[in-house]
Amino acid sequence: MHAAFPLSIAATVAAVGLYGALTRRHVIMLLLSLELILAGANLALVTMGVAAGHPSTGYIFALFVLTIAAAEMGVGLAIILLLFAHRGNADLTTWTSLRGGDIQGRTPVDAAGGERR
Amino acid sequence: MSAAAWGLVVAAVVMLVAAVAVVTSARLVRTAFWLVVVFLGQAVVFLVLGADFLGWVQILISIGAVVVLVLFGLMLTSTSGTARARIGVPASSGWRRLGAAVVAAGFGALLLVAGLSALPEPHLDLEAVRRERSGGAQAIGQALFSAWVWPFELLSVLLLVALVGALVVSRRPGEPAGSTEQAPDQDGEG
Repeated sequence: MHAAFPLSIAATVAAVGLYGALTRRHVIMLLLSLELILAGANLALVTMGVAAGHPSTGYIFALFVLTIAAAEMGVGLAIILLLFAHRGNADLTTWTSLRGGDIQGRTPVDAAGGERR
Repeated sequence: MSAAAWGLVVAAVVMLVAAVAVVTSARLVRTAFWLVVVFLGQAVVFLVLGADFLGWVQILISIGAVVVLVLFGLMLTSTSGTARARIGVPASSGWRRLGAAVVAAGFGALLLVAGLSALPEPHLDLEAVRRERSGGAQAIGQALFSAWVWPFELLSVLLLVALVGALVVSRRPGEPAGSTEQAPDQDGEG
């Protein structure tokens, strides 16, 4: 089998994940889209390892990426739950504090005093 | 094509379709279950590509831990019945959707070109890679604890930091440790 098929599937899954990350409004959907990008990367890593003749290198890199994805999910969800508790909604388009100017609602770093209101 | 190659094709197409469903489905909970399908298809592709250990670890971690975590997150951030209407892009932003599609297509094309040009001989010998058995638990364990031992140890430190970081972040300031549960709507928007 030609390596182009799994590689194109991997690239398409990563591209679909990027599309989701750019269009979805719910924060958790953003995290899921990032998971899709990582899934595409993992598939590409394993395919390239097999095609290059060093399969175990690809497997181990994919294992590392899998672990990092799990850690990222845990920390990301903790941050998102905290932000959700402050904001009261999960709509990304209303989380515009870093844009400057049109700040709606309280920001989580108010207590630190580092936020321009 | 051999049976293994057919399995790879079917699993990869299922994975792709499920990935599209993840980013287009209008129901929050369904996207999480479509993600399960993505991970299952990916695990089957891994198994066909000889990565036995990786395929099963994928099922354990991605489906058993990540998707369950996502489901908990969805339950903790569900606001009301209006949440369903809020997850897509607003109807007015067709341009945003188009721009995102263009960017994503360019990204995918770039990945594919870069990946293919990096391979001197882009051929997958599925029979040989299964005969080699370099993806079993024994081979992976030996590689992990010889050549890759430092990245492996570093990764364990990273997991510990992530664990402690998630605990610290999810604790409300001024609260004692242990009570991490939070009332979602105690201060509303604006």
